[in-house]
Amino acid sequence: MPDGVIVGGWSYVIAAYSVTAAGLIAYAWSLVHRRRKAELE
Amino acid sequence: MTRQFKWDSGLGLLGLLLLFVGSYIGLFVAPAERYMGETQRIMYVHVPCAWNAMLLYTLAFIFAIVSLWTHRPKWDAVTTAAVEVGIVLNALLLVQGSIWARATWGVWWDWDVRLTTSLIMVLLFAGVLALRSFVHDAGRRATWTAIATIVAFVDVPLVYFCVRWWRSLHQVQSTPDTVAPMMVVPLRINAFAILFLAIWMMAQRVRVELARRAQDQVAEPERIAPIGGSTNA
Amino acid sequence: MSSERNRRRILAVAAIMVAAGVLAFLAFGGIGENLVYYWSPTELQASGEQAQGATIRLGGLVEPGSIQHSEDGLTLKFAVTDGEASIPINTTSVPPAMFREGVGVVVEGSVNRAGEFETQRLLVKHDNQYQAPGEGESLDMAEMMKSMQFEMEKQDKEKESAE
Repeated sequence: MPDGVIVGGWSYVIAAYSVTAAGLIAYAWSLVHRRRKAELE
Repeated sequence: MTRQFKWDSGLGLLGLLLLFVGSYIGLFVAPAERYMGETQRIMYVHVPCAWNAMLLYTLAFIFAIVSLWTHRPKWDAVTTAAVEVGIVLNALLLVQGSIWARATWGVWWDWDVRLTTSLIMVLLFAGVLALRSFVHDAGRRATWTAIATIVAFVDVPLVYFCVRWWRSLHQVQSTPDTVAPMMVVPLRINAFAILFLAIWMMAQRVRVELARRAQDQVAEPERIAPIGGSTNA
Repeated sequence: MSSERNRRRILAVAAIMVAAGVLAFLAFGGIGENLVYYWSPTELQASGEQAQGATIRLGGLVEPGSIQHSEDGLTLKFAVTDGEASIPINTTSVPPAMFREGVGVVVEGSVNRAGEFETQRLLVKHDNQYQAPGEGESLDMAEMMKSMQFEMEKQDKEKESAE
């Protein structure tokens, strides 16, 4: 083990990017949904 | 219903494209960091979310003043939109930061001043939206939203400057001099990507608000009609 | 209608003034002097026996050459320094991967009777340098010390007294 260096760690990167993508997609979906609801009613 | 192509759709698509390009460079082209290794790549989404959340809150603060001054519905709508999109980025920021913290600092969370003020920031602005949802009268709702936004904004400069003013676990801001050039490139691309996506989101949120308002006016004209007037008059 | 408008404008000015006032108080009210996130080794040493037993945080750099793993691998000893004082640390927790000589750390725990700092919460600090491998990896303690805010405080004070 090289001292003081993080080896690997891709799982953290994947987790952070996945959360970001999921959050942005969920919010964008909610916006489109709310807009449609507000405009059609 | 045919909808014509709006300016914000173009901006949103551009943001999405840039986010793919920036993330690709960040994940596969930029070098790993000498100590943090691959985990440093979280920076390319974490820092753009931080910058844009603070930018949106700052815009919300300015819009809130204009809203209070002019009392036009559109300013109330953009204030709300900026606050809401700011909250989304702020929440993402906290989760990304937590993951990065586990990898580097060794803990998911610490009551350090940067982390604490960032958490307070999301709670304060969530409070603005909560307060807003309790007020039925559109005029009063706009007034209270604006005042709450102005008060909540106090925490934003605090989040930025706290790491210089007080001791913290979180490091101080980096500058282009302290970041390798190949890391600055994806960081900047993603910063603009998130900015464009945030503007698209704000535009959608403004439309939701204005459509709802038009709807309320049809449904309950007697209640909404005197915009800015009080209900007990 | 116009009095309503004036009322809102007064509210706008009042809200901004309250916001500015709170911020100014936090920035210049000296909260940082009463509410310290971590102590420096010099401050901890100066407090002597007073600090014994209380749960506190200590921040500083891992002193080069001080890292010692016990033979069974369960306990770790090292020293935290700010260039002037040095505090011996004793822990059974597993250090984060970035733990190394010269790195900034924040430890939470208390000083025992032997004057050692016992901790089960060992955090590794990162500075604002993001570099590719092989760039500037030589150990420069003065440079690393900049990641600790007490170093910035010291430099600010020196600047003030020079003026």
